[in-house]
Amino acid sequence: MDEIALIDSAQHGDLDAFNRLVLAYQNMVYNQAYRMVSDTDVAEDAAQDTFIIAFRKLGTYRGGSFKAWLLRIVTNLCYDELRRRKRRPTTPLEPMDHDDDEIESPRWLSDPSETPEQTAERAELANALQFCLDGLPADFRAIVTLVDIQGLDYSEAAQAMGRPLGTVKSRLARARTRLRDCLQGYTELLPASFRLMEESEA
Amino acid sequence: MTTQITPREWETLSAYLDDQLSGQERKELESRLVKDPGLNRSLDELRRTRMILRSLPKLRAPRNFTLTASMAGQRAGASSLPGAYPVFRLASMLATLFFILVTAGGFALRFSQPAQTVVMSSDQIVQPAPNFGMGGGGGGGPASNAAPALAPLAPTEAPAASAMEKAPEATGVAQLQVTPLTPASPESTQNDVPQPEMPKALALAQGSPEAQPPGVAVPQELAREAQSTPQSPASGRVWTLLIVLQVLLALLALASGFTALYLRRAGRR
Repeated sequence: MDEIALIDSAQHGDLDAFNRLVLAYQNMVYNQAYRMVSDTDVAEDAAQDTFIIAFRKLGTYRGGSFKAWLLRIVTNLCYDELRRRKRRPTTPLEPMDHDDDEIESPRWLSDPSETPEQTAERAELANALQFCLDGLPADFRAIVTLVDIQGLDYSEAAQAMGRPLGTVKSRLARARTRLRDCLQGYTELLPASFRLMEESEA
Repeated sequence: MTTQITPREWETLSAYLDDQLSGQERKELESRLVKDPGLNRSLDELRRTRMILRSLPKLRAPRNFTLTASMAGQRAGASSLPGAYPVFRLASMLATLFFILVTAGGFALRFSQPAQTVVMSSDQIVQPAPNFGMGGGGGGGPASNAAPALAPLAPTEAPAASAMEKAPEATGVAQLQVTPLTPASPESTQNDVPQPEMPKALALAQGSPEAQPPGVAVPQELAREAQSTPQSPASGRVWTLLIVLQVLLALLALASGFTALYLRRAGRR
């Protein structure tokens, strides 16, 4: 796929060319949206809106990383969604235990589908990670998702965030340390390789 | 241990993991890592965290997000929006602003005009009064009728009388209004007020001495003419212009406002 040629065609109104770009980047965009908002429906809407906005604003794209440009759009949409949530907070339906106390963090503990143990463990780890990600400030969440999950380098991440390189560097470090603290409570969920690493260190 | 690690050191460790340190920084950190097991352990924790993050499964998009023709049509519709919408919006705002200014100006003019009228009418009251007195002069002395009415305006009596004398030279009633503003000379109060001449002067000023009987009707007519004469041609035109301008601006504001609204709604569809 010649990305530059496709972008150029799309800029001239070629919808097919743009849709080929959509197919190439839709997983990445959806992943970013989901890691940011932690809701499949909202992430789906954000991803769709991203491509509509991208098509509309394609004239403003002035080269550079197209991937980072798309990620910037979806990240900004997610910021908007998170701001909306802050303005209109909703109360989650927390399950209660026998003493009528709320069970904390049920989202990552419960999995609606019954799967073999290994899959369940992996799913639980993913849920635990997502829970820890949700606890981060939006900026930290965005940067750690861009670099550690999407695999962007610092300059691409800076472009996607619209922040200076130094800010990206410092926020990424702080996000990682916070995640480290959060994940320390869930060592039993870590894969064997991680546990072995810990045991050897101890 | 890890608690001793400063935020700056965490940042260096994080950048080290991503190979973002310069050669010198890297060497310095590596030599510290050899000596400091706490720092080394922190680096491992950070590395593990990054590995866990990277191990997260990549989610597949639940559906294709390719754009349909109608979605692309939104773009075509929207492309006409950015050009036209702000223009109509600005036009509507400016037209509304000018409409408000013109209306306010109209009100200001309207409120300032009655003040002029009052001045004129008071002049008129001042002027005809001696005539009235003089008209009825046959029955009384110079001060018998006019004096009570003109008591507060006594100083103007003499100028009025002098104006009456000058009436044949005057071209219209407007001239009569100006005369009270001329200062009264003490002599004139003594010498003037020749009663028999006054009706003649008035008649000359009006152009038809015989047609107008002396009395109340004459000053009223004069007052009406005096009020209308200075305003009629110029101010009438200004008023018409103001009204036309107001109507045009209101129409422009409404038309552009509704067009902008329509474009906005069409753009959202």
